[in-house]
Amino acid sequence: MLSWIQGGPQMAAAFLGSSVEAVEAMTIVLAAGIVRGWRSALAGTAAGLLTLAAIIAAFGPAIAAVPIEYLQLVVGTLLLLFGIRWLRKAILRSAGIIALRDEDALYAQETRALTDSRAAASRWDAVAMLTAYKAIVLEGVEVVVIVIGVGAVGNMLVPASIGALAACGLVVIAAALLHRPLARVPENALKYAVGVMMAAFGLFWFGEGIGVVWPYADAALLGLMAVLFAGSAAAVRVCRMVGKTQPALAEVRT
Amino acid sequence: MNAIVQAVKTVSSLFVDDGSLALAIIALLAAVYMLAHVALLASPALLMALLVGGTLLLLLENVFRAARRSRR
Repeated sequence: MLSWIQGGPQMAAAFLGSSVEAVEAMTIVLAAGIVRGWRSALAGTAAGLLTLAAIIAAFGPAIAAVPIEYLQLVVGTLLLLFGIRWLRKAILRSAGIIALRDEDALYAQETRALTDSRAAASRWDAVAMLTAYKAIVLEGVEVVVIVIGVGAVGNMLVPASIGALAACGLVVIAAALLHRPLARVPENALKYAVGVMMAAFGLFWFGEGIGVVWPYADAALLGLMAVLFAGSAAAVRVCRMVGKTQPALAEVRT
Repeated sequence: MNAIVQAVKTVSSLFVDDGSLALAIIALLAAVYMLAHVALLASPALLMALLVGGTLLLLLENVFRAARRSRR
């Protein structure tokens, strides 16, 4: 019971991070399925999931064999870079320096590209399969990074995996019911929250890796998140003042 | 060969958006690591302050620079 309480932050971080990635993948798979046919899009999705399973099977045991202090350093560094990348983008988007991601626009763009593709849609459409496969593998690798990052070091892979699977399941169910991109998901707010969480986990693990004993043990994570949130919220306000007032640059997809 | 380069680029893009920020953070982590292992005077409180404060400062400097650049 105690481990489940301890695993709460890992599960929440994996759930939020994975939901962002699942929405991005689902937009592309939906476009491929609707424009070029569901058989091929679902085959590409299945192949992508198999590739992800192979990646996990290959790297999972290798990660378990790494000594904990090295794992803390490496995972901490990667998680910090991953979190800061999301946080930077979320700050710039919140401040209006770069444009918010628009799932409807991306869906339209992907649909146009798939419609314009020279290869005619057939029973087994390579364009749809490859499009869905790439989306699942690329976004799926990010989910794997999130799960391993937040779960590997503290022996919390199970709660992190449950959080990620729940997010992916929810997004699939929502997309199946709506049959359109999930444009109402507040992606930037989610990315902001996940960026703060990932960066906090990264700092925490790296600190432990170099021998820092954090005050209040795991609860220090909440303090780190609070500091990062306060700093980034202040940055958004300053960037709004410093930055331009004209419409944000057209950065639809990054 | 192209596929390998492409794969490396894709994986690195998971962690690096702005190269200068990523490099600065790696340099900060390396400095804190050295300080923890070489300098015996480094207290845990100093290491924590450097780690958290340094990361936050690097992030803020980077986003302010991006904001100023966008105004031009």
